[in-house]
Amino acid sequence: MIGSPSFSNKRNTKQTKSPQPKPRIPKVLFQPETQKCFRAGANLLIRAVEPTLGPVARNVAVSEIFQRGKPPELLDDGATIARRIIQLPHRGHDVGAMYVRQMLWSLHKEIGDGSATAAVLFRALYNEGLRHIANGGNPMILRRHIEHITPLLLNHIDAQTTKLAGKEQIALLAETICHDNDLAKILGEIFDIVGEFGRVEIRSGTSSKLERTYTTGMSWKGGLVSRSMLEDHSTKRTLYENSSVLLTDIEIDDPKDLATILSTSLRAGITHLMIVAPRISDRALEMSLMKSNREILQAIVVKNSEGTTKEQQNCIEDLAVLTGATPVLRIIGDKLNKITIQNFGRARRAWANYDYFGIVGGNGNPRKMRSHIANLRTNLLLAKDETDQTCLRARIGKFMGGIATLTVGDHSAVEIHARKKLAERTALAIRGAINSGVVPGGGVVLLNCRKILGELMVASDDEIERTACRMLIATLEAPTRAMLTNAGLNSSEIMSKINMLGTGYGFDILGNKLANMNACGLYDASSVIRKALSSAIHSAALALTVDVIVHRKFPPDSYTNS
Amino acid sequence: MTTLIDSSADYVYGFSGTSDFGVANTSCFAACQTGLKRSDDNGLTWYSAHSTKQQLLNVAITSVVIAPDFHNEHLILAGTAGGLLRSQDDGESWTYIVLPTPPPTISALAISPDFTQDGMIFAATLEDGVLCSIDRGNTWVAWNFGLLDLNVHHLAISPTFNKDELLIVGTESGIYRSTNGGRAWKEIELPCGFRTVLTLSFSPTYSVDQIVYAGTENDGLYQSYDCGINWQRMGQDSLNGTISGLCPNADGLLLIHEGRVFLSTDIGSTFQPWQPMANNSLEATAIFAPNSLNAVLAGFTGGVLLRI
Repeated sequence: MIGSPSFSNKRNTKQTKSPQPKPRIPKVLFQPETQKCFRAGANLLIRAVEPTLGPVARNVAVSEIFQRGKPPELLDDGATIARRIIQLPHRGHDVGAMYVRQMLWSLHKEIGDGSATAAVLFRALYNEGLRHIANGGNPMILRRHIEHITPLLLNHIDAQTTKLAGKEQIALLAETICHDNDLAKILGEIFDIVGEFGRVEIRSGTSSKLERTYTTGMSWKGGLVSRSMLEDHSTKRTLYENSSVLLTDIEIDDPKDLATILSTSLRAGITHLMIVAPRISDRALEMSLMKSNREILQAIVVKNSEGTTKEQQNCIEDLAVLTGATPVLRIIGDKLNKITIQNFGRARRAWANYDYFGIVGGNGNPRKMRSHIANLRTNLLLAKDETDQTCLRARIGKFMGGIATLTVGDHSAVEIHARKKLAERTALAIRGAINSGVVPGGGVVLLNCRKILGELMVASDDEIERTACRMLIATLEAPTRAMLTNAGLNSSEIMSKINMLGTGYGFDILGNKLANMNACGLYDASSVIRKALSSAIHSAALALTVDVIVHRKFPPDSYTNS
Repeated sequence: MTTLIDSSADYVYGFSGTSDFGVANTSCFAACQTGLKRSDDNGLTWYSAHSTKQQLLNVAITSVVIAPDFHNEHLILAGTAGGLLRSQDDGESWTYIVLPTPPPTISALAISPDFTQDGMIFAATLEDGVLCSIDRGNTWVAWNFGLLDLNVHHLAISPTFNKDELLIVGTESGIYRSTNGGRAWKEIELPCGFRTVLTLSFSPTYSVDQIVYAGTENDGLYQSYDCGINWQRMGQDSLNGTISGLCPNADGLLLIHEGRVFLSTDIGSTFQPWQPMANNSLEATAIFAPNSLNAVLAGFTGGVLLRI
């Protein structure tokens, strides 16, 4: 019924060759086709992702979609592999695959890692759930029980979490994510230094080596208001040593205001001055550029162009702490023609070009500066809004003294690109791990959670709850089993040995031995495991409730257009 | 034995000597307000370290360091208020090293224990943070990533620097630590908050005990048992006030507290005025005894140098 009118439309379109959009022909699937197709599609996508799990992960080659003749991409990141699978030929399978793909990509965007773990967990729980439904179980009741148990598991993961400290520990964690020893070591050093908040830029290099540089100084968006203020044309910037700094959020319209600033500066014995203001009028600018004025006082005016008004206020606040200046602010009734010597701050070096201005070695009180940073960190912990968090991170990162730049090199352009992506992904996961801590690696943290499920199963009177616990116990073993299988090992045999050794023990695949993961220094980021488990359980529980599939033949316009 | 060596200088900032100071008859140097002083007999007699050919006699030297293998590599570096002086021929000739402008005041110098191999020297400055040279002191660049406070009073280098690349600096607002040879710094919290740290020193048996000492401007002595990560107050009420000099050696820990020299023989738990200087009325400004209490150099206000 649904398809008939659309079909006739399609036929007409073919005959007349009109520029009408292609018709969408929905296909409707009912049980048992729904489960069968959904499962097949999800499993197919997960099979493509699964080889990337564990320390001996393998690559997946993906041919270029739009440019023929280019070499295939070699990927070892589950989410990106899933992202490259745009559509499956079978419509029912496609729904299952796209459902998992969306889950993996969301996870990747949020925490940068854990997609293969989530995929394996999803498959295990979904398949277990289907078995329960096939035996007459109700998916809605099952879902309710599963989602009721999930917080217990997450709390147990939290209980196993320890703080990540030192470059060695960070490097060990990085290695479990990227499996690249050199990259892990260098990221360990960088994040030990910059911490959770520091700015890290990852760039493609030209050599085969990995290099890191640390650039000092704080800079803000803005820059010189006039080309005539540029003093060094070779470096395209003006640099003042032992410069004074005046900060204001008031526009300098009246030349008299500027005259007051300049005369106060001269009285204070200032020879170099940087004025940070939102705007300066042409008349005032002309006055500042007068040769007679510049002979007695070197002054530049820079525009504060930090995004929003709030960001501009933050910039002034930070600059005030850094330089020891008292800003001239409209909101408290200050006026530019009433400034005093106390309004000026000092800096060892102040520089500006057309796009940015910066301070190196501000003369502010270092104790106040450290307190200010401590306050920003506290605010970050309390901030709920993502924009506020980003803004606070950027401010703290600036105070930390600059940018850490990692230049990624390798033997070919393709390898450099792949390694850069890997570095970016690892960096994101490390940030999360520094913030949230680490848990025993190799899937052991999940295996440890089986204990509370076992206790709950014994204590529960509800048969479906006991079933949910049984299913989750099997699910929690899935990542370890997959890692062992990927390494070419007998997962059943090793799992039974791990079970005999008890809590905290797992299999060190690279060392080829059973070991206590904490003692070996094998860690996973707590945030990654938490989010992967949570996403997989919720997604699988929801997928079990799917009873009908409605699917269209053609991909969305965004794909066909590109 | 207490010997008055020289009273012409008006202030002694610090000392430097070879690792076998007091054991063999070796050279040592004193950074003084009126220039660099030198002794070739373990501090018994002193003379100007600058060659008479160059008129550097009146330059105030704020810190001095020599190559660890001074017997073979005759490198001397002297910090001044505004630059660095370098001699690689045992003080015969000196070159003025250009530093990034505006020129900073050098407050401390530290040389890598593995200098023969890595050629690294670090300079703490009162305005520009830490400067580093990786070419035996010829060129210098600022290495201040993460160093929020650029007013650095002292800098200490780990005795096992070739393995751990550990550096610690004392600044106007506390302690910063680098575990990658000064490329980047991390702030360390002291129990007393953001207090000024004037002096730092690694334990002579650091590779075993991992102890580091820090002397503060107003809050006494602090000690770390974990390579400078966590700190705890030492000496309690007996050491309230300024700790301006620290010198741990095999016989104990010598320190300058409010201008007087104290000794601890129990890893900093208790302190007593050090007897050889107990009756000295002068204010101590620097102390040097790298190996034992058998040979100690002390500098005082008024430029008095004592060798005990």
